[in-house]
Amino acid sequence: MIRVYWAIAKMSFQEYFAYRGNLYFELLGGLITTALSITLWYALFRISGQTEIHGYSLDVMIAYLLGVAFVEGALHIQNQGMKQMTDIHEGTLNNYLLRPFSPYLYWFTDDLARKILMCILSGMTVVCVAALFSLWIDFSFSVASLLLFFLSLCFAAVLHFLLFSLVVLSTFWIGISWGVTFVLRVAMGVATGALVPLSFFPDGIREVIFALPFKFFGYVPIQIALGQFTTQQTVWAFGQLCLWIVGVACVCRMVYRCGLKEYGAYGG
Amino acid sequence: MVGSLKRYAQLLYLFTKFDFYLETAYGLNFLFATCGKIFRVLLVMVFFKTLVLRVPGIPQWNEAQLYILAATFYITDLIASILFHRNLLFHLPRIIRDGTFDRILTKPIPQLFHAAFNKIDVGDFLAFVPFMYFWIYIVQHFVLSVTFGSVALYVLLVVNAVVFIFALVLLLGSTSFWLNRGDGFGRLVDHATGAARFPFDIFPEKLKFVVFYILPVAVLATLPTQALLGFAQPLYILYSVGFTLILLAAALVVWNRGLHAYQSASS
Repeated sequence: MIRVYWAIAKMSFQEYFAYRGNLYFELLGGLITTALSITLWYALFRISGQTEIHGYSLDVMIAYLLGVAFVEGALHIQNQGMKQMTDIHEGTLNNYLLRPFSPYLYWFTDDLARKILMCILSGMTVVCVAALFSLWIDFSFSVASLLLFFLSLCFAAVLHFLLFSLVVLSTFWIGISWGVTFVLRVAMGVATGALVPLSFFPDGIREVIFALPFKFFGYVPIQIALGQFTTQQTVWAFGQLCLWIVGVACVCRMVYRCGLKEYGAYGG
Repeated sequence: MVGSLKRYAQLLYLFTKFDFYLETAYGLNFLFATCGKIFRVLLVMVFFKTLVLRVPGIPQWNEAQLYILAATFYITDLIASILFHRNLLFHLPRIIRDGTFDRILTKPIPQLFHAAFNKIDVGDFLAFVPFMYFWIYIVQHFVLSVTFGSVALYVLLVVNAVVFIFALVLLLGSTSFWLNRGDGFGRLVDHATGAARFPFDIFPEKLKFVVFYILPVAVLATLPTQALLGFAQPLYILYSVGFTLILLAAALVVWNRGLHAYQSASS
């Protein structure tokens, strides 16, 4: 069975590499934004004359922004969930239902392959930006925190797929769901900690954001990598992440089954 | 002159109407997308509020000025987004690639007008509502020393900024007549122009030179804001208007050459 999914993953790799230029442009765009964000924070530290802003020194802030750029590049892919939506909307799902594999695992494998590819490319981009700003940064990561960072990133990738997949399942009822995924993407744009660390937000808003799972797609993995979390906080973060994955997976399964009963198979 | 303006206005109205029908064919999806657009504006406000709350004073840019900068950037961005941004940067490369650009050539409407404005994003209109609130908030909470002249100059420079984006996306969109490329290129442009929401005055000198003179994305928000607040340099205003006009002329030349180079072959 694994051979089937491996074949799907290989096909996905080939498909995304067929439009290499597209991938590179997207990454280059991310690189520009990261470089500008770092320059902005560098300028803010310089002109304010402060060594720390809300508990972040310049080194830590730059490392945070690089981490965000890496996680963003690896996880937050444009058109996330589009394949799943098109399959349901246009009726291509019929083909998958007749084949000897689970459509859901097919979508997951395709998404995972894309994330692995983007992770590698994003890593290369971040190394380039880090080299550019190496004079300002004192990189000091422990091996353990880096391993935990990558582990949390793997878990986050699964949760990320599940959350998008859950909202895309609404296609069974509303026909097209890019509007719903757009809302999710907008929320993630801020609530992952991509623009500023989540601890910067005013009290009320911060509490709401911390209650949501989006913090696992940026803020939490980076805090783990930077060694800002205690052992207790790290264990609690992983516990929460696992609970979210199990919870959302169960809801997805339930909604998918209901959706299949609703599915007309005629295409949109 | 008046007759042709009236015709263009009618066409714009028709494009808007058809897009509205198309979008609302999936009513719930349209509702979510519109909510997402309004939500995005609200989050921008939260982000700037957070930045002001946590970061100590930025020279030349106090809280009100930062809000005006943000509001200016997003107003410009929103106008471009409603009218032509997606059409030229994402839709045009797609229809050139699959050969459906032929349809535009055969219609009795100027090709550039049709290509640039054929999809008017109705959902984005509603995103103006929180923006209005943003401006009301700024006016109510801060003392702004603006004059009629500075407001007029501000409006003119916002128009200049919109024309600048139009010229830039037309120039880059027109390259699709020769290059087969996907959405990634458009996103790269979005990232580059998205930087305009930052107050460029605080950047290091070399970078400041780039964003003010080489690729002057400062015209998108920094310059109109400076004009409104009365600290824009007249010489730079002239430079930015001149640059926009040259960019527009270059974009039109590339567009016309692209039309001649179009092979009508889909890939």
